[in-house]
Amino acid sequence: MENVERHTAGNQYSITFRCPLANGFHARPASQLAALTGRFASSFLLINERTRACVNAKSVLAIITASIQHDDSCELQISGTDAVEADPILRRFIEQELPKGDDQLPPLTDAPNRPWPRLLRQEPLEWLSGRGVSGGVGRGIAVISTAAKLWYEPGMDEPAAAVSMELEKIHHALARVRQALAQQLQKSSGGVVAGILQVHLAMVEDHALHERLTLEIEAGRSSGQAIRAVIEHFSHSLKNAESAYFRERITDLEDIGGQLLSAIYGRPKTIQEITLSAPAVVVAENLTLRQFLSLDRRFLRGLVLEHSGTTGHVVILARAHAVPTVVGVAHARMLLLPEREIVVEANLGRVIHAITPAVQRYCELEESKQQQYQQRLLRQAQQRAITCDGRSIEISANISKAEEMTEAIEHKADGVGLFRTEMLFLNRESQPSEEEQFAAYRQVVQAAAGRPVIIRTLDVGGDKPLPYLAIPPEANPFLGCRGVRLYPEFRELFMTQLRAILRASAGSNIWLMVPMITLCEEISWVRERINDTLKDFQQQGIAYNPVLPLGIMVEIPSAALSIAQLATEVDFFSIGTNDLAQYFFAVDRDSATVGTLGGVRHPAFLKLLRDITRTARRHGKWVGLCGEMADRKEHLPLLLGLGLDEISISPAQIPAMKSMVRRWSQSECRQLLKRALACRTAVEVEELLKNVHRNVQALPLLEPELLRLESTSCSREEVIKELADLLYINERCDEPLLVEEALWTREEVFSTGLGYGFAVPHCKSAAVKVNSLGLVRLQQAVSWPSVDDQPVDSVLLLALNDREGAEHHLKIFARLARKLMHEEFRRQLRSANNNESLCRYLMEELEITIPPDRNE
Amino acid sequence: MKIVAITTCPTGIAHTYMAAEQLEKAARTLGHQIKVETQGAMGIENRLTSQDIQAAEVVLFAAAIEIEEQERFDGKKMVKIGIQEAIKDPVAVLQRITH
Repeated sequence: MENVERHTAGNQYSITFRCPLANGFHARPASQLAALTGRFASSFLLINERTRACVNAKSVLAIITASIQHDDSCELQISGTDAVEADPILRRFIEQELPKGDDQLPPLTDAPNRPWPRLLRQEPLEWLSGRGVSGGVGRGIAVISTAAKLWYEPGMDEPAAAVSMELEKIHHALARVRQALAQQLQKSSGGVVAGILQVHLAMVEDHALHERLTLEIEAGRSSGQAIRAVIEHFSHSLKNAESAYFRERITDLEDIGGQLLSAIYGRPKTIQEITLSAPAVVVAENLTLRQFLSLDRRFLRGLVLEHSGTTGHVVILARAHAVPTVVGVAHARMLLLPEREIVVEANLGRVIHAITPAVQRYCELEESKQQQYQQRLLRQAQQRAITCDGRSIEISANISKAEEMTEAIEHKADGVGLFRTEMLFLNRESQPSEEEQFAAYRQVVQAAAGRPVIIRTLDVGGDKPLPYLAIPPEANPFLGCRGVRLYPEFRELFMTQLRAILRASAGSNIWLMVPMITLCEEISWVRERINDTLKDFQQQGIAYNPVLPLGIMVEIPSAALSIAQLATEVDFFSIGTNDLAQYFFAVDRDSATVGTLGGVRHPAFLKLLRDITRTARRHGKWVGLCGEMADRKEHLPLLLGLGLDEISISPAQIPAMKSMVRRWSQSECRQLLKRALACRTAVEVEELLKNVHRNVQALPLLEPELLRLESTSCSREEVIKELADLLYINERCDEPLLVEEALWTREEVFSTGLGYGFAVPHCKSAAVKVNSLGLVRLQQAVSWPSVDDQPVDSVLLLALNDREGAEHHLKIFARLARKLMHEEFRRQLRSANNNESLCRYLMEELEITIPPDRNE
Repeated sequence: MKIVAITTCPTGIAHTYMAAEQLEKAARTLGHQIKVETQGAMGIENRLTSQDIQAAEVVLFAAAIEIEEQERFDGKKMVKIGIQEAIKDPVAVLQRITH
């Protein structure tokens, strides 16, 4: 990178660079830099040339107060005994890792002031304006949060005790908050929430924070007073930052301050917990991370914030959890009445606070649209996921607790691809008994009702020490005694788990999977233990499944390259991409410096996956894949190209993933994988995936789901909304509001009512993702300007994308237009009594052929 | 009587073809010969040749937007109507222009 320069003078080093981050040097990259500099004894100064701010680069708080924005010239000065070692590492970080430090969520686009939907346009309305940052429409009673962020606590007025006692209190509080965050982090399933928790953790561990707290206490303050003073100090420096992105971090600081205070004084009564007991919209100045996470999401329908920032952590979370959210609503807490129903129209950035009949109707239609969208996903998810050229793949769930089975079943998992049993063993003083484990495994297989359940035996090591498991400390637990390597030494522990699983296997579909297999000998050892146990069972008359499949987690390169040999020992393989990538590239993926080296999209890694699946299939073995790689939708074509038998993902993603599978053809995916394998870098593969994505249009012009024979819409406005929503429900458009607008624009030229009770609203718009032909038949005719002045009861939708090259679809539409001029055709459309027969009739009459790649 | 006609509408995917169909139907009923060129989203289809135009006694435009290549009809008797009229009552339209 040419904009990074290095200067050396004695044991002083200097790296100059321009900030490559669009959002500035914000909390996450700051916490990575601080973690890195913290490893060295040298001192690190980060200088923002533009503002002349000069800060300690070992402190995440100090780094963000330097207010470094995109393209600012910066200098990192390193001086000290180990500066010579630190310099190349820091330089590498700045050149290679820093540019990747921006948010995972796509940047918010500034939505132009959108007009109200037609349905609401003629009505009197009362609303507040703001900016929609997370789309959707939510309706609920307003719950107004008055919680202070950094509160006053009577205990704080008490004079400080001895310095040593106050210091002890602070250390205790810091440790508690750190532990709580670390626990939450472990529970979080990665992604956005984990990223934010990591930032909070870095802030709690910050040197500058600790130093300041100590100074305040040594100056005679109590621990509570010190916390307030220090949080205010850092907030003050952030308040003056030009970038909203940095000012937003004040909320994070106050959140941490609040947690430290409650660790010392307990939860004060002045702080109101926001409790939701019915569908609600939370109205607040702003929310802290902790407040957001504590909200009962079963009832949370929307968020209204006075705070106008769009880069705060609560906004990021609201987007990740699809909670309709409007920010920057001035005086919302004063203007909205508590306990009154309000509607958050986040697509339009508005909060409607008077529920008129039209608003009511609008909400009903929106709600029904969302329900139908979900129902369709679930309905489709009930069926197996099959590519459009007929290759099926199982989409299973990753779970770590028996209770999570409910969610897996609700989301139509084809089975459990990975049941991590660690949760049964963690956070307790003694190991779980055979009975306790048996009960948990039974619970899962009963809920699974015959679907396969892959149970992975205990996978712990020195990094997650269990009190009852004396694993000697190791310098590098990830390369030490973990997974299967522990079993011979802690044989009793393993045998107990094995007995529990084998007992639970009776009359069920349990598959047994062993983690961390390096060599064939290890799986032979496990096989012998199973045989021993089964012999005992036979003697004791205990039931078990005699053909229980045994498999391994493929997560170590030596195993990945021994599939042919292992295939003689096992029945199946499941690729654990997280660890496999780490061991393959020799990279800790949480590392700030090298975490993004290689990665699952690297051609070398894809080649490894290809070889594993190819060899396994040659030996007739089943191959699945679990790990975060499978959770990302953009990877799906690669995984389909590999020809896996199964992928296992988090339950909530299953319906959408199954729907995605149906849009690809395996032959297309195999070609894509071939091209990816020929790429030179991971970035090239990413580009390839991005571009191929847009070309896929596997859906046909017409399908039975696009015909609605008994619509209850009761006006032209409702019908047009219904048509646009029909496209959304069937994943043929993302923004139905834009399709609606396009239909109305055409309708305004002259009405598409063509007489005989028919209308043909149509449009050509970029908002239409897939060319579509739809039909809505109304239970009651509506008024619609028509050639013969008669009301309309049958409405055909012709929706085209604005891309070129849909000649055959245009021909079909032209044919349809001509047919509509014939009475017999119209009579057939009116009288058909079910979607399938009408769909068949239309396909015949309009000569719609199924594209050849959809023939199974 | 020999008629040539052109139909065209804003989006070019529906009304153009409805009007063409209606005019062809009406001409059959009334015993006229008609050739209808459509100017829709697929461009010009069933293009009127110079022989067609020469042989025609009347030229009918059923259009909601500008007709393309109008210069082809210089010197002919031309009638322009709204496209909806052609859809609504094509028989009346043809009777009027061929009286």
